[in-house]
Amino acid sequence: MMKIKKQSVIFGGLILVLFAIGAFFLHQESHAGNPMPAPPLKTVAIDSTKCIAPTEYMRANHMRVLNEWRNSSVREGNRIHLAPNGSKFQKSLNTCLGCHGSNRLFCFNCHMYANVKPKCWNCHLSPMETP
Amino acid sequence: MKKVIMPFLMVLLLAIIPFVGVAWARLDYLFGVILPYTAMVVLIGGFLYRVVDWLRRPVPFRIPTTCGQEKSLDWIKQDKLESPSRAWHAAARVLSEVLFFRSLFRNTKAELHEGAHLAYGSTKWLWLGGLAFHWSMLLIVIRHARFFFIMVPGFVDFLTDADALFDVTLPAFYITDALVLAAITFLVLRRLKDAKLRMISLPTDYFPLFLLTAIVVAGILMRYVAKVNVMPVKDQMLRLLSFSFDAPGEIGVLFYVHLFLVCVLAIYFPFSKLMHAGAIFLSPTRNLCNNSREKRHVNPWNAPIKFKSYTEYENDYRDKMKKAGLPVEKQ
Amino acid sequence: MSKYAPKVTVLKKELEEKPGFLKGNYSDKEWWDIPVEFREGNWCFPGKPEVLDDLGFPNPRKWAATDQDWKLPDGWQKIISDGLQSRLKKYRSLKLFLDTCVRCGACADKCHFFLGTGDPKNMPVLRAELLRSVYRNDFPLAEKILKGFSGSRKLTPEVIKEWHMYFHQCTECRRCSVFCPFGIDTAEITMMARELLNLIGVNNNWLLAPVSNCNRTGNHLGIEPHTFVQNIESLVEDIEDHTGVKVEPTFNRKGAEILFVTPSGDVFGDPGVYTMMGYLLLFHHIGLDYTISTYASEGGNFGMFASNEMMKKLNAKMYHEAERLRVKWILGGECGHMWRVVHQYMNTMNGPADFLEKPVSPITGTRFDNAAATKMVHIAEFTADLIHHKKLKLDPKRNDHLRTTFHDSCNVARGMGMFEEPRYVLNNVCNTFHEMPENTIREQTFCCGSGSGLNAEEYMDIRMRGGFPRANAVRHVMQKHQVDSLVTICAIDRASLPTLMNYWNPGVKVYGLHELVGNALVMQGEKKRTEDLRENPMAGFEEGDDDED
Repeated sequence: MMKIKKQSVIFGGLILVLFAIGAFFLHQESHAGNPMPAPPLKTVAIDSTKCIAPTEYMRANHMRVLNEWRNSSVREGNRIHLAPNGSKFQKSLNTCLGCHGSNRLFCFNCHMYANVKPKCWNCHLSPMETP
Repeated sequence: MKKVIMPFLMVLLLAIIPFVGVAWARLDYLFGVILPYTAMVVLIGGFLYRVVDWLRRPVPFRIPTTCGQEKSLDWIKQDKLESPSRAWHAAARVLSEVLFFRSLFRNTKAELHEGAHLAYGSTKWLWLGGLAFHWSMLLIVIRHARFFFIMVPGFVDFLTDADALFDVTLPAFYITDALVLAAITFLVLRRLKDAKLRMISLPTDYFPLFLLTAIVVAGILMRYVAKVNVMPVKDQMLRLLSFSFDAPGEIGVLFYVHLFLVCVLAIYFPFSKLMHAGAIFLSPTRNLCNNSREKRHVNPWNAPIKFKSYTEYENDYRDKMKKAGLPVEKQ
Repeated sequence: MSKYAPKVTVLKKELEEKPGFLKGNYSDKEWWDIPVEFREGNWCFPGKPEVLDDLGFPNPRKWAATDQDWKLPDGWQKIISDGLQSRLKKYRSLKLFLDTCVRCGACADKCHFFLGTGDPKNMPVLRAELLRSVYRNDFPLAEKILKGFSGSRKLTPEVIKEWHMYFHQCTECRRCSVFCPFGIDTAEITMMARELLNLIGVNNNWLLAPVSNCNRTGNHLGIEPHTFVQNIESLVEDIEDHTGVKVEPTFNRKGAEILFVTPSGDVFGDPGVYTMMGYLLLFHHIGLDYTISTYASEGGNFGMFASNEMMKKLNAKMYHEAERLRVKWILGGECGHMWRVVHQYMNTMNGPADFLEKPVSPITGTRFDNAAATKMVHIAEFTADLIHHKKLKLDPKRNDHLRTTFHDSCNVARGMGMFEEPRYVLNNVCNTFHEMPENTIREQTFCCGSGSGLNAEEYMDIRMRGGFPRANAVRHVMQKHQVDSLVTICAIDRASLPTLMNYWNPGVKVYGLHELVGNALVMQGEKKRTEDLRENPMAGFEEGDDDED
């Protein structure tokens, strides 16, 4: 009996940890939807004259930047991205699209090639959908 | 615990090789082109060789392990799966082993209780762990189709979406990533914890587990932590699939670790216990019909044998037989 | 009790108190570092030189397992290595089973010898590793490069000693193969290992002597034709004494419809003879046109436990005799490994039996399609069919003095798949049947611990340990349902289980299924029955009781 119990504890524990991780993220997600007192908006004008980070970095990490922007701007009201060189950007998809929107296939080329389906366009209008 | 540590160190060492090879020695071509081709040739060639090597050996006798009622009298219900009498029964039996690990599902655990009393309880942990492990691996491999094909088949998308059902984290967290790690952890821990398993386990049992862990961890790191630009990765995979020998583009070194370990696994596969993947289909105690009294099974080498014939027997015992009133052929 | 086994109290205490693998105690040693130790009770006497000469087996000599030097022949390593190679070419099963194992451990606690001894090398996976470790060292290329990594080792005299010990602590019962996810069958590995050991004269007299007897006289016990007949005739007299009915078996009679073959233990051994009396009563009851052969006078086949060739050689007599006597088909008695051979090997080895007809029951007209090619029917199938067609007059109350349970014999269970027929018969001839716990019956049944030629007196220690799981399950129903009768359909069981029961569960007696049939049969012209075939009083049929119908 001892053996069986010990095994169950280990395996049960692993499952619990998994659930805890899942629940944690779900919790965060649900918070994101809650109406919260909006902090005073601080913002800067959209500046799309230069990219916020080197191209190489953006190729691998753009999704993290966008995800981080979404979380911090919507949840914390922090709408200003400070680049290492001191320049400020508004945390907005429009900051990116101001430049990259000129090529309507900019996002889709690669995402289709790599078969990745981002969730951005669930809410935002994609360059394909704008006239 | 040498037999645990040794394979662990081997895997660590293997993981370092591409680091050195790519980051320092700039051997992208070796690791990105030559090795993957070599590994695939070894895997496919080796696998085929092993299977053909098994197939060309004869099956002299019909030796299914009968785990259920045989086909006999009309009014007795036959267990078609566990005592197959037709080819499709046997096929179903093999598939139930391959897909659902049916025999492992039966697993019991024996315990010696007070008063020298043996008790048996059902224990399905190994079955569950094994099933979680193998199915997760399969799903993960299928998911990788997006790196190998321009047009990804619909079912791959479906399975990928299902795998990301929780839709937490970005990129979306895959259930199988967690499952496979949990299952491997369980499979390693049970080998270490149980005295019986500790004794029967060999370095060759730990090595593939550690190797797979390393592969999975490298993959997870690339996806969730240390991002790698996937565009040149897909370029390279497509090139490999079109048998091109062009040099790969700039790819993060973590990818080479992942790829190299996969190549090691592929090369190791045909020469190791991992060949159980092929053998399970051929097991004569599972894939044969239990109908050897109904249909004659032919043994190709059925060597003739000299046995003591009745005539010799009668010659030995004729007088005694006659005295006992037994009929004899020759007076 | 035998001097070759510890007292039951001592063994019980050892099982309970001695740390063992079953209880999860850990040994720091690797299995290949644990030495082999032969002591009284754990080795069978080796084959006598004259037995080996008779069989043409190599290296006849006088030796004992406890000797330091086993006098192996010159070049024995090469003999083993060549022998293994040739068997790998002939048997896909062997090659697959050596290659496939992943050491998942599902089989570890399934072996009755492991459960009874706690010896790690009795885990089926390690038993196979004993051979596998040598195979790996000799064969596949890549593993050679990774020596020490894959658990391979050199073939030394110590390895041979280990093989001898542990391939004789396997009864080829196949219980492990039920649980193996790849169906690896240790019986197959043990059979091959024993063949290899026989090539260098490492053997067991209790196993080989019956092979030699059977070859010479037609049966394992070495009974010559006149004695064989006398024995059955004395049973005929006993039957007449008990029942007032005179049964009339015939011997070596040409033109009979059916040839009846049963293990010679049923003709000569107690309690097998009572089962034989059951058969004779049954055949008389239905007026069967049958004959018994003194030449093919053995159903069992110890050749199976020595080598494939011997199995074929001994089995050949059945068809040879059936052809000579011009019978239509063969009916086989209750036996375990006999039915593994008849069911899975006989027609392949010794067939096709075109001179016989498809078996049809002359009483019910039932065609035994499942035996259409081999043309041999199991007595339990035959009797179940008779009962199903209400052709037998049975009074199950006549077995009310017994409280029964049923032991599935390993070979009939896992090498044939006959589970329902004997239970159907048993339920029709007695009212008191209770099953043992579910993990110990049917395809999960436990061996008696003495199968595959290990029933030797000098092997008592290992036999009592190996039979412990079976005895334990019997004890369970003995305590719960007051069971006192263990019914079997195997001659080895009838020979070995009485000893095992005396040791672990005194008071439990062992019966053959057809002995109970014999008790229950209401024979035409019988006298009033008050005693069963063993002359034990039946319950409710006492002298002077007149309420019997």
